[in-house]
Amino acid sequence: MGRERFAKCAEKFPESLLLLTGEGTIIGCNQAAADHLGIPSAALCGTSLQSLSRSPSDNIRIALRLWAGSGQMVYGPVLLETKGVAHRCQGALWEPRAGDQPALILLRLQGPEAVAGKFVALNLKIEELAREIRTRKHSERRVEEEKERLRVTLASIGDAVIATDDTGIVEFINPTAEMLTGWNFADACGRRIEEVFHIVNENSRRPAENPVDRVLREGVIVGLANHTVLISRDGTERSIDDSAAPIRNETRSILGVVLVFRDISDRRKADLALRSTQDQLNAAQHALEEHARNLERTVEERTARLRETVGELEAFSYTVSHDLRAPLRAMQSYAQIALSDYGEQIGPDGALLLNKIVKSGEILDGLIRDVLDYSRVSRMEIKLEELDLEQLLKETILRYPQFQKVESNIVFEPPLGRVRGNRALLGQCFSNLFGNALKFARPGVPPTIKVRAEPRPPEVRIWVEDNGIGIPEKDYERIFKIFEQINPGAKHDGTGIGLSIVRKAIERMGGSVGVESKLDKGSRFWLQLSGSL
Amino acid sequence: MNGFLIVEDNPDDRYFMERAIARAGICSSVTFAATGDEAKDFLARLKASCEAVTDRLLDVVLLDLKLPDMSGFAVLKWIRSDPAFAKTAVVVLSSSTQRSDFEEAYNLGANWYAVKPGNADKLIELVAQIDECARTMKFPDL
Repeated sequence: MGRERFAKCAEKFPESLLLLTGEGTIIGCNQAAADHLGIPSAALCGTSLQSLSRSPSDNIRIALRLWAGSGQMVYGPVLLETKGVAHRCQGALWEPRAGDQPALILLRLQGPEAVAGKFVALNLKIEELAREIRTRKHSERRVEEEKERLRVTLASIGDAVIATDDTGIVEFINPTAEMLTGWNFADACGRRIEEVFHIVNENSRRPAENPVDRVLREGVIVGLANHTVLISRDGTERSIDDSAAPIRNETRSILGVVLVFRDISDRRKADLALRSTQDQLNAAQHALEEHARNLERTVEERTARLRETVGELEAFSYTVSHDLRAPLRAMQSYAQIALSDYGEQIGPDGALLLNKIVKSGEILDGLIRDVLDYSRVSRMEIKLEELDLEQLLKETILRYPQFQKVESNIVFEPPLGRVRGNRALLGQCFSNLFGNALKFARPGVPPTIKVRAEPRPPEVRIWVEDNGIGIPEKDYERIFKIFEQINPGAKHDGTGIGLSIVRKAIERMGGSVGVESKLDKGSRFWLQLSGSL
Repeated sequence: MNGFLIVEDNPDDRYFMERAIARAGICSSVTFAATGDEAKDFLARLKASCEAVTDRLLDVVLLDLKLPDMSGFAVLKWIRSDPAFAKTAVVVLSSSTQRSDFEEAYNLGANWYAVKPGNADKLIELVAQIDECARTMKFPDL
């Protein structure tokens, strides 16, 4: 039994192995042992250990007893010698004695070189094995580390991640995804993705196509449709956004799908809030526009009313100038006719009174005319144009018979240049200034008027100088105010409005007006308007 | 028929005009019309009666602007639309000193625009001047 077992396995070992009986008779060997000892195995079998050894028989007896009692290989005090080489022997019980069958002992021979060589080879082998084990352990550790790193990454990532296999069965779900879906790792794994990741369209409430199915079908990266709502296990709804992508191995075949998504409810809310704010803004803008339109309408209405009022004023002044003056003129004329036709019968005292009626009529007529002029100058629409001053002055003189009478005494000092103004208004200004010059002449001194221009870029100052009674300096400002006449009484005709009209007219043409004068030395009025010589 | 047509609704003014014409020594016939229609009637009848006359039908129309039935401008326009009165002088005699009235009168073909004087003697002078100008059809510029 033990022999067959030996014969079966001994040849597989490179060491030299012998099988002995408990009494020390060799009953088996492998080829290595036969080679080692230089004796064919057939010759070896049947010989005693003693015949191969120079060790004393007691040593052999002790060794046999030692080996037969040892379960593991131990050295015995025996050396086998062949061809002058001594071999140490290790032995152990191979099979215990059973009945008449003797115990069997397995013996291993170790030559000195062989011993050393075997040892080195063994060590090398062991080291190799150890290296391999270390390498494996290292890669296993790296794989473990990598797994851990991935696990930590996926666990701590802000986005929700679900991974499925290639049939859409959930294999992994990270904590964010657990939170959003309401499914924990243990419950989710092994379920269909649709069950765990339940999405509908925000507006239609119809189930939205699951992106995992599409990835598996088309093998592409898929973004979620807009307005997708995730319904969690407990029914909570969240707007979500993101994508699904295939997981591929080195050969590009799909192993599964990774689904990454995030909760955009806050962003959606912010979007909606923004839109609501935008709507409010639009509404405010519309209100503002409406308000502006109302304002415009109001302005238009008021302007129309104002125009109407101005129109009424025009009509009123026309009435005043025509209807009020007609009876006044009649009074004057009747008084005058009475005077000239019946003067003698009336007598000098009566004539004096009639004269006073005529005079008062003239004053009232002049007042009415001037007030009308002033109000017309103040409100009339004026158009400014380039005016040739000399031409304008000549036209003015031609229009008024009273100036023609003293035309030779009105002197222009050319060049007078051109100014920007309104023909009618500026004509009226000169007519008023000339009128004043004639009116306020010094008694006994024929009135003379000199007009000259002085460049004051970008304006021109036009001087109107007379040799009249002059104006004291304290009155320079007063004379331009309405109803101010510094020489009151019957001595001079006039209403005190003429210079007010001049100032108003010049101001309306964007110019200025003033006077330089000395009492009894004449007056020098000036008008200044934009223009050039 | 040579003479004056005075279109004037105010009796006072008519009296002053009559007197002034007399005092100015004007011998032409003088006709008064108190409304625009009266003036147009008179002129139409004048034209009908003098169909053959090629010389001017009338020397002067003195025209007030403010009439009870229409404005003096309407009368002026009517006169100027008829070539039969091309040689008739039209003088607007108004109390209005508004420049716009001056301008409109000239634009519509008035020969002169005179402001009614508030003095009977001045009116005599004015009437004499108008008669003189009408004879030669030379009036002062505006």
